[in-house]
Parts: sequence; C-alpha cells; structure tokens
Amino acid sequence: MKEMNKQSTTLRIIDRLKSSNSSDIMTVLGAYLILVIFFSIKSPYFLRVNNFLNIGLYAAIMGAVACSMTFINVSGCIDISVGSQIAVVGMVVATLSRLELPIGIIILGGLLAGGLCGAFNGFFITKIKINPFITTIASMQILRGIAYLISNGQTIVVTNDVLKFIGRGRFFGIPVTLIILIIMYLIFGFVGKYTVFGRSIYMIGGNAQSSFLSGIKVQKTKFIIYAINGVMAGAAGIMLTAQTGAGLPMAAAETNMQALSAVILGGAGLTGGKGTILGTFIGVFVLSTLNNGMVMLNIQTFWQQVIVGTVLLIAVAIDAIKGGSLKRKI
Amino acid sequence: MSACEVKQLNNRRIVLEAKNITKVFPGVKALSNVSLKLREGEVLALLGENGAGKSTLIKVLSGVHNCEEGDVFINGEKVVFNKPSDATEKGISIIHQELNYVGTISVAENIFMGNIPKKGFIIDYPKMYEEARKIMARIGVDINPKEIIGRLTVAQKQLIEIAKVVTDQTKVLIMDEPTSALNDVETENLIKFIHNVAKKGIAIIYISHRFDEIFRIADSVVVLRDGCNVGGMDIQDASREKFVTMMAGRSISDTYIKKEANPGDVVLEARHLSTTHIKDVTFQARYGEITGVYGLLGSGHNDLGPAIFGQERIISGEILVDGKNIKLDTPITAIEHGMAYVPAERKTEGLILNSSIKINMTTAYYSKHKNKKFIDFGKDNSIAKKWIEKFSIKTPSPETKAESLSGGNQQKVVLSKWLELNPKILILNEPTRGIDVGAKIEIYKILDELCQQGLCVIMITSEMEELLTMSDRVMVMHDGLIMADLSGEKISQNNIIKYAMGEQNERDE
Repeated sequence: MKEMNKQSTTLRIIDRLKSSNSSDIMTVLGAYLILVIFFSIKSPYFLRVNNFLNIGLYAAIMGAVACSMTFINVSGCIDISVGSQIAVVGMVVATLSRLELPIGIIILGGLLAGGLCGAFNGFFITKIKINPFITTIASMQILRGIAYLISNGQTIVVTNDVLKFIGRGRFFGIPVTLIILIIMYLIFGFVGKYTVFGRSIYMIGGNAQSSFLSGIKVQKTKFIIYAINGVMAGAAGIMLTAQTGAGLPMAAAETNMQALSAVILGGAGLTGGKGTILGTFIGVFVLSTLNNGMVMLNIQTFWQQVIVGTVLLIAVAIDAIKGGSLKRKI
Repeated sequence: MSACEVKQLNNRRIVLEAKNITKVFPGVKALSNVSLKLREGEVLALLGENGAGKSTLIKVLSGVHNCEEGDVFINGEKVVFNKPSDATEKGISIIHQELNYVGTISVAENIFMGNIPKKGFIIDYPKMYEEARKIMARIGVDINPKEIIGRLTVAQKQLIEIAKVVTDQTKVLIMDEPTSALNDVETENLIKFIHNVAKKGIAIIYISHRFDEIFRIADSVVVLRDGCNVGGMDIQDASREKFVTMMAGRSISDTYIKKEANPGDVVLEARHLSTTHIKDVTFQARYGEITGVYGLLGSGHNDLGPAIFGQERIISGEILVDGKNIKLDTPITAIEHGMAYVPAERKTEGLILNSSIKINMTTAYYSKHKNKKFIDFGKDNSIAKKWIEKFSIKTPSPETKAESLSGGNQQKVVLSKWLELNPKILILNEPTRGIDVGAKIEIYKILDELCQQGLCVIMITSEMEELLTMSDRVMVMHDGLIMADLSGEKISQNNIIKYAMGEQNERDE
C-alpha cells in the first residue's frame, strides 16, 4: 500500500514537472551554469561576489521591463515600445528633479508617465483592436519623438542624492537596484502563480475565445497588463536616470530587444500561454552574465552582438525541434 | 417544367451512373448500396436530413473518398477515382458549400492559383486577365478579373468558383447547398444560371435544404436516409408530403430512454431576439425540461447558443431570466444570471487545450466568484477530483493537459467547468459532436439526471436521433427563424423535417 502511494506521488511529481514548463527552465539553468564555468576558467576576475553584484546592478533596468513583458508575451501579445517608454520616463524624471521637487513626486511622476505610455498602447490594442505589434511600432516612434521634444533634444543632468542612491547605492553591500529587481520578481511571480488575475493571463494566451466564453474579461485584462508594463518601464526609467545621472532622450535604445530576448530565452514565446516569471528571471541573468563575461574577455562589441543573437537563436531552435518542427511540412 | 421536356430528358444519354455504392467509416456504414443515374442536362436534387449520407455520396463521386463497394460509370465507361483530380479529369466538378478562395488577391489570380501564366520568370498579367475573362465568359459570367475577390459578394465568389471548376470537359457539376449563403435575388439569379448551364448539356447534382428551390430547379429527386437511397422520382411525381415521409421514417435505436420530465416555471425567455444570424426569435424554456433545438445545417440553430449566452452582439430583442430582463452584453453577464454554455467547437471554444484539466475545470469558477482574487489551490484540487470521479473521466492525473484526452472526456471536462457553478440554465451546442457512442450515452445520462434535478437544458443539435431521444420539447429553425415549437405528440420526424425544410406553420403556443 505504502509502495503504491509512493509510486503515485512520484508519478504526480513527474506529471507536474511536465506540465509546468519546468523542463525549459532546467535547460536555461543548465546553459547558465555552463556559461559561468566557461567565464570562470577564462577570466580570474569573473567568479567573484562583487562581479555578480555588478551584473545585478546593470541587469536591473532590462530586468524590470522583462518582468512585466513576460505577462505581455504570456497573453499572446508583444510590446516593442518599451525602450521609448523608458526614454520618456527618463526625461520626465530629469525634468522634475531639475525643478527640485520632492523625491516622492519625482518617482510618482516617473511611474505615472510610464503608466500613461502603457495605457496608450493598451487603449489602441484593446479598444480600437489594432494588432499589438503594429500599435507598438507606432508608439515606439511617437514616444521616442516625445522624449526628444521634452528637452528639445538636450541631455538633462540630474543631481538628486536620493536618485543617486537608488541608481548606484548599496544596502548592506547589495546594489539597491538589484534589491528592487528581486522584490519586483517576487511580486510578479506571486501574481502569476497565486492570483486569479495572473491565471487569466495564461488562459487568454492559451485560448482567448475559450477564456471569453468562460467569463474572463479578455480586453480589460490585456489593458491592465499593458498599463502595468508601462509602470514597470517607469521604474526602469527612474533607475536608468538615477544610474546615468542624466535624462537622455536617446536612452534605452537596445533595452527593448534585450528584454524581449530575455523573456523568450526564459520560455515565454510569442504564441502565448507559456512562460514563467522565474524563467524570465533566469533569462535576464543569462544575458547579463553573457554580456559581463564578454566584456571581461575583451570581446569586440560587434562580436558580442553576434554572440547574443546566436545564443537566442540556438535556445529557440532547441525548443522548436523538441516541439517536432522538423517533422512538420509547413 | 413541362412533361414534354422531361420526356426529352428520358431520351438523353446517361452521363453518370453510380451502382451499389457502399462506404464504411470506422463504426458507421455511411452509404449502403446507393445507386443513381444522371442524364445529360438533368438537374437532380439530392435530399436527406443531416447525416443521411449526402456529403459522403458526393465525396465518393468527386474522388475525395474511395468506396468499399460499387462502381461509377461515366458515359457507360467504368471509372475509378483515387483522388479529386481523377474525377475532375473525367469531367466531374464540385462546388463545395465552403468556398475556396484567397480573399486578398484578384479574381484572375484566384482562377489561376498554382498555374499562373508566365513569360519566363514574370507573371504575364495581360494574358492572365484575358484568359480569366474567357474562362468566366464560358459560363456566361462577366466579372472584372482584376477585382480583389474579397470585395465581391458571396454570389459572385460562387460564380467564380464555378467558372474555375467547369471546363470544356465538364459533364457533371455537383453543388452542395449553393444557396445557403445567398439572399433571395442572388438565389433567383443562381437558379437561372443553373438552368442555363443545364441547357448546355451539363448534368447537375444539387443538394439543398429548401423545398421551394427544389421544385423550381430539379428534374428529378433522390432521397437518402441513413445512407440508403430510399427512392428516386421525377419532379412531377413528387410532393412535399412524399419527401417528408421518405426523409423521416428513420429507425430510432433505443440507445437511451429518457425519463419523463417534470417541467417547472419558465426560467429563460427570449423576446424578438435578432443577431446577424437569427431573426426575431421568441421562446420560453422551463426548469426541469430539455428543450431541443433542431435545424438543418446553416439554418441558424447553432447560432442560437452564442446569441443567448452573450457571445454575439444582439441587434434587437431582449432576454429574460426568471422574468427579469437582463442586459446581456458579454458571457460574464450570462454567467452571473445562472447560464452555462457548452459551445459547438470543443477544441477552439470550450477548452484551453494546452492547459491542465484542473485549470480548465476552474476557469468559470473564478469568473463567477468575483470576490476570489487569489487562486484557491485546495478548491482547484477538490473541484477536479470531484468531477473526475463523478463523470469517470479517464485521465492519469488532473494535471494532464486537456489536449491529450479523448473527445468524450474533453466534453465531460467542459461540462464539469459549468456544472461546478450550479447553473439554472445549461445551453449545449452539439453536445455529442465527434464523440463515440459509449461516451454519448454517458452524456445523455448526465443531461437526463440534471433535468430531473430541475435544471433547464437547451440542447441545440443537428442530429435527429439525439433530438428525438433527449428532447421534452422541440423547436425547429429554418433560415434563422423558429418555424415550430413542438411538444408531446407533435414531436415526430415528419413534423420536424417539414418545418426544418421551411414549411410555414401555426405556432404551438
């Protein structure tokens, strides 16, 4: 009897592993370990606590947007305007801090600006029902233009002590941005797994029509995740401005694609219904570690881009082949 | 059609003859010993209710299916079709009910799809347009070949489709319900068109669910029932009554015997409800009763479910639950008022295939219990456990993905999702489509039991046997309208078929 129980428990665990995408996370984790071992052998400075804290410090901006972007991808949508959203927020934050407003107002202003950008996308996607890709191609350009317009193309220097602490400060030796990032992932991870809202995102991505017929508010949910994504771009914009000490209208041009790469690497493809916050977290660290290691090895930046792109392609190809892509005719 | 014309027909050459066609699908004999003859220029109407074997027969004749037994002769010569193009080569062309076209490209490109005229590497546009025009002119159609096909009306698209398949070699043209998507004027034009084509000597097999058309268009009629040819006749020997008797008379196997219902008060009422697919629908449904809704394919009965569950936009009319007018805008409103809906397309509308059984069973639960903001994992497990046991759903675990279940088990998962909400009204659209006999009976048992417990069940179905087995009351639809509301003695195959074919009636109020 006991034997039987044990067996069924094992079966249940295997089944759970199979159905919860953990296997994909395992693959990415494995890849991460290989990376760490490789760089540790190649560079004596790599395998040090301080280096990893540094990775965390610089991963925060991309990591913050990748976090909420996971929900966008899980719902079957996409957002490629995040980089421009960050730039707008950066300019707003820099302008507000120039006016020497209280830090609370500055942060709130940044988050609000981001939220508005996200809501703008959400409105066109869910109310006018324009394809998310097209909507965000447009808003990417609109928002980038607005970022330039705010200061007429000029850089705005920021000298706020609290902002400086957020951007470069450490708390018990741990970078503040890394702490913020971990808190974000804990919250989003919780929402994704333990709330009805989080589950409905997966449902919508899995089959929007069935979800609608089961009483899920499909469009409202999508609107909310775009707005949340904007707020997270706000947080990223605040951290970026704090880190660089200036509002730059051309900022975060590559952040969008890096974040999207991290999300995809973490298992949330573009088809929807799949992916986890934990997976994205690992994806973010794989990419950041890769970048960090390549810098340490003095690899030319042009080659760095080739390598990052190749890693992404290989990861997705493995997934596609596992899914039987070679056996299909079309 | 005058008698002398028919006589002329009798002298004409037989172009197509099917002898003793038998086609077996796993578990079902779709056709048994069906024979028919078709003469040059003859219009033969093929009649029969849903599932009588009409589609299978034309698929055999057009090379889509092989038949186990029987022979097909064209101009007296025995032919064997292994694929649709074999049939086309021998001169049999078919227009399917679902038109086949790419809406974003031109008429000419659609006509030549896969075979576009080229000069070297380059598409020869002038030649393509010229040829397309000729091809259409051959059957008397004049449509600009440069027009984007998506901008045309259904009738025009249909003519293009006909132009595409009719070649100089065409001897037989098969049309599967060509008028189902046409308006009155377009139908009129199509009838004229068919007369013209027939005059050129092309024989036509015409499937339709409308008596009016059949009497105007056909020279002869063959009626199928349960895969058998139950009679052929010339049109002047035919009458509506004859057709109805021949189409009905299907033997009802007593696979399941429903318990007697105890109808309670009216729970659901629709008043003059119209959507894009249904017109002015008015009816009442009661607690503790199964109301069957029947129609021939395309009659709008399948659209009734989406309309009363808030999936389709309501153009006019109102829906009342327990006597109260509900402002039905989305499925959520319907759920809040105690409705549940098992949609016709299980895989694309009922389930989230790549999610677990457990998650599928609990989606509607959280929609209804709005105060629940967090996932209650204990509740999830108990819901899944309860229904897997109750409906004996065959699955290794509640975590198994819905896609790996059989059709019957999938349908039980969809039912569980809704029954967990304790609905007052359960609407089912084709509840046993694509489900094997064993699972079918299990689902009938479940529905019967729910009905006994006082649930109002609205069962929309295209299967006569299911309708007659399970319904306490039957509503028959035709062309988006409710033609009859039958109960008691009046529920008979003859009655149902009569109204489903568009017969006017006195309503059973």
